[in-house]
Amino acid sequence: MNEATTIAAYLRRLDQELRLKRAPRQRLLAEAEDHLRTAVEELVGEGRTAVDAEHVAVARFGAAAEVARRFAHVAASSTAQAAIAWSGAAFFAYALTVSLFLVTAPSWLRDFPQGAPSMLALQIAAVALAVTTVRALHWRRALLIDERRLRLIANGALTATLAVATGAVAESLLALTRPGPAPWADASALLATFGLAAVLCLPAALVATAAYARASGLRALPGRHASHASSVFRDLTLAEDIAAAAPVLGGFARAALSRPGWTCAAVAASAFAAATVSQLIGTDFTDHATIVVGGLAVGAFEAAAIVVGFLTLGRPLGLR
Amino acid sequence: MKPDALKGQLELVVLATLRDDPLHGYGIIKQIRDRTAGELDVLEGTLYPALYRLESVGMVKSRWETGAGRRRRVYELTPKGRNALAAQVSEWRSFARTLDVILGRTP
Repeated sequence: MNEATTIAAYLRRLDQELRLKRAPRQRLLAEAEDHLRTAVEELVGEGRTAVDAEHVAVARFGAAAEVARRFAHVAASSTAQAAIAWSGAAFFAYALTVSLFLVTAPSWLRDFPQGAPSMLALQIAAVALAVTTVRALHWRRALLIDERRLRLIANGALTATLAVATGAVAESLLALTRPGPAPWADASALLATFGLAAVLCLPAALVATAAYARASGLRALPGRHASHASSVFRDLTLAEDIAAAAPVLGGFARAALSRPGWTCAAVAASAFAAATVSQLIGTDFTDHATIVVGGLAVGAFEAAAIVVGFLTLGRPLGLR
Repeated sequence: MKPDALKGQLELVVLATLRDDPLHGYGIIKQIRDRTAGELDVLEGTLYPALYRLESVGMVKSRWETGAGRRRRVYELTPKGRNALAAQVSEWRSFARTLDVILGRTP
C-alpha cells in the first residue's frame, strides 16, 4: 500500500481509513491537520525544505491505517463496556420479572414466564454475564482492553442478551399457543412488566451485536497488531481474572479451570442430582414411578443443558 | 527507544504530560520529546486515540482555542484524571522496584 507523503494526501487517506462517525472524524482530521502543519513549521524553522518537512511530519505521525486501527480499538473498548451494562440490565430486568410472576401471578398464569425456556435462558445468561463481568472487573482500570479479551467480553454480552431474548420469545410463543381461552386482561400490569423486560432486550442486543462486530472487526483491519494489556507479565486466563477480582477464589478457580472438561462433568453431575432431588421433595408419591421418572428426566435435562452449553459456548466465552 | 516500548503506557505518559498545563496534541508530543531528550519515540498519530479514550472516561477534557489564525483542540487533566495519574504512577513505581530487584541480580 502506498503511503501518502504530503499533508493533503495523508488527510485524504486518513479520512478513508477512519471508521468513525462524522463529528469525531471531522474533529480528528482538523486536529491532525493542525498537528502536521505545526510540525512542518517547526521543521522548516530547523532548516528543512517545505517538501522534506511534510514528508518527515507525515512519517512521524504514523501510517493512516495504524491510526485508524487504534481508533477502532478505542471504539470497540467503549462499546464492549456499554454492552456489558446493557446485557446486565436486560438479564436483571427479565430475572426480576420472572420472580415477580412466581410470587404474584394468579394460578392460571403460574407456568408463564417461568417455564423451561426462561430457566434455561437465565442460567446461560447468568454464566455468560458472570464470566464477562469478572473479566471486565479485572480490566476496569485499563483504558484499552486487549483485543482477544475484548472479543471474549463481546461474546459474553451477546450470548447473555440472546439467551434472555430467546427465552422471552419462547415463553411468549408458548403462552400464546396454549389451548383454551385465558383471562389475559386480569393480569395486564404483570404482562406489561414482562413486555417491558422483553423490549429491553432489543437495545441490549443491538449494543451487544455492535460490540461483537467491532471486536471481531479489529482482526480484519490493516496495521500492526496492537495489544494493550497493561502488563506484559500478567496472565490472560479466566482463572487469573477471577483471582484478580476475588483473590480468595483464585486457588479454586485455577484448579477448576485447569481441567475444564472435568469441572463441567462435576457441575453437570451436581446439577443432575440437585434437579432430581428438588423435583422429588414435597411430592406426595401417590404415583412413585411417574414422579421418579419425571424427576430423573428434569435432572437429565439440566445436566445435558450444561454439557451442551459448555461444548457450544465454552470456547466463545473462553471457558475452555 | 522504539514506539512499541510504550505499548500500553501511552495513556500514563499523556496524563503525566498534562499534569502541569493544558496542551494541544502537538504540544504533548513536543513535551514528551523534550522531557526525554528524544528517547521516547511516540508514533504521533496514536496520541489522538489515546486522548479520545481518556476524554471518554472523563480523565481529560478538551476545548477548541483560536490563536495565530488557527483553531486548536486543547486538553487538560480533570480531577479524575489527576487521581488516576497518582494511582498509576504509584503502581508503576512499585512494578519498577520489583523489576529492579530481579534485574539488579543479573550479571
